[in-house]
Amino acid sequence: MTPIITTTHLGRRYGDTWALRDLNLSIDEGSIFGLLGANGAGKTTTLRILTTSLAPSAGRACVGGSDVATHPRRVRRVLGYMPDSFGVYDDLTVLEYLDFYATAHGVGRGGRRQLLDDLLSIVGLTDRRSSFVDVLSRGMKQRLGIARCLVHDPPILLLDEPASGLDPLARMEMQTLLRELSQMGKTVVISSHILPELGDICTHAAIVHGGCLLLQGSVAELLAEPSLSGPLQIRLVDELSARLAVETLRRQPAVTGITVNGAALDVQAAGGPEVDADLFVLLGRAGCRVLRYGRRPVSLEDVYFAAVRSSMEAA
Amino acid sequence: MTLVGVVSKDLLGRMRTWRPALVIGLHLGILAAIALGQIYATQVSASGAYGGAQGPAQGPELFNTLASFELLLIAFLTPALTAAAISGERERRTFELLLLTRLSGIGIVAGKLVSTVGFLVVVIFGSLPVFSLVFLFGGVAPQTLLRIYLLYATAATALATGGICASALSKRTQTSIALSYAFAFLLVFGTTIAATVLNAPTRPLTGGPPEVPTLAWIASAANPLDALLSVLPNPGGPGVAPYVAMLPIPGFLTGVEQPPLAGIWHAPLWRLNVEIEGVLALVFVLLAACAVRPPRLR
Repeated sequence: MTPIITTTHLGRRYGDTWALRDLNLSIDEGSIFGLLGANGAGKTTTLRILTTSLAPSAGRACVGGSDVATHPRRVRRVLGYMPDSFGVYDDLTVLEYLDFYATAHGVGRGGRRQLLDDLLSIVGLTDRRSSFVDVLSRGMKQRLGIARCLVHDPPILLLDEPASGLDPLARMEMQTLLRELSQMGKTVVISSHILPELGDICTHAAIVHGGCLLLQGSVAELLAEPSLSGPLQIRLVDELSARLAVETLRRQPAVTGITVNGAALDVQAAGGPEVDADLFVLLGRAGCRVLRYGRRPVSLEDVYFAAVRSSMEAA
Repeated sequence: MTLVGVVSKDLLGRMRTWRPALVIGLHLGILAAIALGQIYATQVSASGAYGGAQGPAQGPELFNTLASFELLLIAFLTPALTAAAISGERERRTFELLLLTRLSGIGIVAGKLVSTVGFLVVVIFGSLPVFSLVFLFGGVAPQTLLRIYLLYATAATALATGGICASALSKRTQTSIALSYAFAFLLVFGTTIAATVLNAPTRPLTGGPPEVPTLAWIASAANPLDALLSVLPNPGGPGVAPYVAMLPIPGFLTGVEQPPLAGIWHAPLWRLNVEIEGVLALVFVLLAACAVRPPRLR
């Protein structure tokens, strides 16, 4: 796949502080790209540079083949941006709100009505077309924000924390919507610090910490990192068995940590499947009655924490 | 086309609430109260011992009062309508999204200006029923009416652009409101005070025609109230306009003392006012457009 967004040694300084340093990103066309990082990691700064709202202090960024610094107008035409927190015109209806942005983006009168109907259908707000924007729930406002991003049919969408503040159902709806947009051929860049949800929908991800890029690649590659493994999750029949299991496992050199939650244990154990099998045999010999035993799959959260830990150790 | 979007969005938002009805109602109410008050006062004084202006002068006098108050109402109302034009977008966090559209800085400012002036036109023309009372009494030429409406339009545009410019330069609406009203005060009263101060030293103590310094004339020409007073009918004859005489303004503002100035300044005060405020509006639009234009990164 060809990269549609690239940044080369991108940096941004606020006074004496570098919010972003030497960022080299490559985002493939058609991917759902997750930009992961804690608050203050530089995610929003990166997105704002890509949207041409902020000038880079160092390096360069290209969006859709155009440099954000030299061709900001061209860049604005090929992307739709939804900021972390954005305002709406409360005194307009949903349809009027979208119609205004369509006009502002230069969408012609012919076919505009059909376009807006289609957009409302995509984001599931058709039955809310005549509602005033201020009566919409947060989830609906977020979906309306995505519809606004789509009014000029841009190939790239930059979404800053799109699921922040949403309830579980609204988050699920948002994930479905983002997948649909990807299937429509859009490149979706999502910045978020809610890692589990990104793991479910992103095809590619990058981890930023303290303004620096730590890792980048396809989610499958990141999760397949050999040095990473999820904790060993053991469910025992009762708490007595759990105590016995803890005593047995603590004596094993491969075990580096145990978290007890009633009759459930999360065991940090270095090593591969052979170590897991050995520990299972030991528990059986010690008389522990095991109900469930297995490794939790590696999540993006594990990847993130491992990357941040190793970065801090290196520093 | 993008400009139309801003205008229609602003007008839709503005007209949906109860505020426009309140503004128009209050505006009409104040003017009607003034008109009826003056008619009543004239009737009472005409029937009293001192005699009154009932007769041919009553129409022009009523017209002059209404026209002056209308201008003051416009000066009071316009800053309130424009002060939040851009800063409100910033506070609502819609400004960044606006800049990412195809709208240019000048497009945003022009859209805001057209929607505000459009609303003001509705308010000003809404006062026509009150002004029509004047025609019951007669004595006012249609040309005068056209001129004062032209002056209203110019003053409203200048004040609106000033308000939008203040809004574009301010991060907070409170600051913008303060700046807009300061500009309105400066335009309506400050220039008159300046004209008076600049005119005073050269006023001859005894006899002879007054010598009007150019700066005093320019300051007066920039003032919408002075320009308005210069076109209003003079019911009591040349140089007699009681409500003008009460104000601390130069004598030439009664419209009878044309200063001996050459070049472009040798023109009626109202025309100079339209030109000066037009230029002022243009400067404010450009300033505001520079302040709101999408970021040029390099």
